[in-house]
Amino acid sequence: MSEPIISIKNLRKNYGEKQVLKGIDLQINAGQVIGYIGPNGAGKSTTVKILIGLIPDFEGEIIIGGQRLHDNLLDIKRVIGYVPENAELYEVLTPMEYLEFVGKLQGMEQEQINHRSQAMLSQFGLKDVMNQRMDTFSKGMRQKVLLISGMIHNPQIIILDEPLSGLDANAVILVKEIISRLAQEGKTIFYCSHMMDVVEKVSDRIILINDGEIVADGSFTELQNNSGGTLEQIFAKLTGKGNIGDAAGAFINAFD
Amino acid sequence: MNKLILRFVFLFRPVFERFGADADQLYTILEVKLKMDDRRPNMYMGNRQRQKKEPKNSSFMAMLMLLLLGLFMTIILATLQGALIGQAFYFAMFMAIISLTLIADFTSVLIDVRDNYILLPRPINDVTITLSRILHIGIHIAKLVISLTLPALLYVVFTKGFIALLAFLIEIFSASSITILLVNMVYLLVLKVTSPNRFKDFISYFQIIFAIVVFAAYQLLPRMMNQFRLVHIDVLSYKWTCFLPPVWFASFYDILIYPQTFSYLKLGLSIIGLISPFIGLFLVVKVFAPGFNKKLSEISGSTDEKLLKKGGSQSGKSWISDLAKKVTNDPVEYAGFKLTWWLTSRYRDFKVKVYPAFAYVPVYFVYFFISRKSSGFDNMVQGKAYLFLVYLSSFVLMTTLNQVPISERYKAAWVMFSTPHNSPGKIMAGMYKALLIKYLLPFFLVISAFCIYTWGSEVINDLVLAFFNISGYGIIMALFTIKYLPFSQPVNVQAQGGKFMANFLVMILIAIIGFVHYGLSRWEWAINIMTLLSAGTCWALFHYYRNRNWQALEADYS
Repeated sequence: MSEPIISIKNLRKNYGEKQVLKGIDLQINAGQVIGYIGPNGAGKSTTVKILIGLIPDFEGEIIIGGQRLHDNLLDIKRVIGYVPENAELYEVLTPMEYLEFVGKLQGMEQEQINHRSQAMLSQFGLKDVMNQRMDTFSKGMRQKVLLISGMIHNPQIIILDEPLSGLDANAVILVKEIISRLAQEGKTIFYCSHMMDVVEKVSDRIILINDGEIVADGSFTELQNNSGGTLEQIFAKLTGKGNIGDAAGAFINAFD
Repeated sequence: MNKLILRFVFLFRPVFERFGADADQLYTILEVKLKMDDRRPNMYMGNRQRQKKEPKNSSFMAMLMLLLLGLFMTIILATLQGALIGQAFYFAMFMAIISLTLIADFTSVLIDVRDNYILLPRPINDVTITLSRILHIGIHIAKLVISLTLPALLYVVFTKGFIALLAFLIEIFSASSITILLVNMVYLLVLKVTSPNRFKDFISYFQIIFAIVVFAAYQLLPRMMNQFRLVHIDVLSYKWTCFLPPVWFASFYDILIYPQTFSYLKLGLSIIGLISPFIGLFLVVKVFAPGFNKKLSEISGSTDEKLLKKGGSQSGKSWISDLAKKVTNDPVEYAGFKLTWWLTSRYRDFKVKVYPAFAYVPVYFVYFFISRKSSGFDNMVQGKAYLFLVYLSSFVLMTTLNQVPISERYKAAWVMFSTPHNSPGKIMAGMYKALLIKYLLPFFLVISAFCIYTWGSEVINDLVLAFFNISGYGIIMALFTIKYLPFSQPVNVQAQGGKFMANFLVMILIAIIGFVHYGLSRWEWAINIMTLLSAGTCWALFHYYRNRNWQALEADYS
């Protein structure tokens, strides 16, 4: 069996006295699409931030592509593409300027940056505005630029945090297809989202984290066999919010 | 210009590489950061630039503004006789302007939290990132300092010679270093006493202070210099001045260029002035910077732990609700009152634009007072000068009314359009009452107290009439020029134009009202009749204003 592309052993992280991650163990193989889900405050974002090197102080061991995260952060960053949850970009730049900036930082050649930027922007319908500043862009348009910036250097591992936020239906279909094709090419996708139906469709392995611990790990079919129902129902059950009907009833009763 | 700057900076490329930085990445980061500086509205461009969608050269414009400020400072330097007072004054202004600019602009230069998501996940080593920040800040400060001091440098070299130029350059270096240290200390202090999320509020207050200082200095300094004989003052005769850094630098210049004025006190101060930047730099690098960086990284946190633990900030102060219930007589008006009261306190862009206006009134009055000092304070007290001051306070209402419809988050106003009521006039009436009570009334009461203290209780009649006149004037202004719901228009709404004549007529109206009041003020009975008429007009105007429906507003929203 081949070596996992991402190996996480006993990952722990505290914020003051609060323990956010309580010993995460994960082995992820190349070509997998991992759906990483959990309620707010479960520890998803902390895991992602540790993986991309934004949080350097943590306990445990992370090996990515055969290299320890602590020892080879720069090399690891070269093979990772990251799309953050909020559309954080320098909006006074144009898409072309921004992608050129990101491409240069990734060590790409100018010609390659231009070629890929134009091709990718065209596919997302942004060709006509690629030289306009992004401060006038809608959330969806910015999200598209953000998605391209996370993938322009053709990374081995792509970490997506709510990548479909604000996208129109056509763009959502396109992104889902891109994720599927990239996985077929052997790329590893780490997909964080609250949109259960999308996670259910795009992921071939779903990891459910709650209160800093993994509470479920397997394909959707495996999770279904264990808990039954849709992914939403499994999620609600395993994160201790099984009585959604009661909560909705109480909400409606508030009108009385 | 940026290419030129980068070409100069990258003459030191081998040094950067020796430090361990990736020079190509460093160049890319700096190139983009400088480009963004050029496109970002800055404090010198203020409202004017925000109206344009795409500022292209704001950095250059800021330098131009600083150059003008520098020219103004050089005129003062040249006017003040005696090197010590001139230099001390110049560097006091220099330090004030640089420190206020740094504090206000550092949010975009130093604390760009987007870097955490854009730069840190990329394969860039720590040295490159740190060096890019240092160089970016260095270039930013150099641009400020060079622009601000260029006129004085030219003045010094042409009038005092080369040695004076060298001494002046040393002064600039020393003053800049001390300023950076002070700014650093202020930042640390503020971060210590406030939460990171409140930090931006603090920056806003500094922008407000900056606007006031520049305005006051511009209006008052030249006149004060003549009036109070600053020209001939002996700075060192006041012992407390020995603690002021500008006096240290001025002493150094003084004994170097005018050795005949030598004294041991000046020598001691010069030595302190020369050593202090190095002590300052040492403190910045060794003591403050590590804690500073740690604190800055906290600012990137999106939530305020303290507030979350407390269960959120207490927003519903009951006295505001009680007040709103007392002064409004309709739920829609009540909602308009409270919304305006809350948002005017919490929207930073509103505060930054409106609060400096409160200082303009006292500054103009001091200006007025200084202008008339030659004719004697007693003469002023015997006259009707208070009317000028009282009517000046209408400026506060004018500014708040002008700014209240505008917000960067104007889209949130959909809720006022989608709710089922046919009385936008009631929302606006609530808005008007909130502005009147929150801004004009306290200001007017303070001014009234000052007037009664200075001119005596006989001015009360005039004050009452002036209050009704100003209130009525505010409604006329709102009726003809401010036809929008609170916080419902984008920032560039003022650029639409087409209402120049209406704005102009409304502006001169208050002057006409003031003159009529002045003309009638010799007859007390006339003032009393006018007060009744003014109060009645106010009531009628407000009634009309309050009953405006959507149709009356539609034209403005189309």
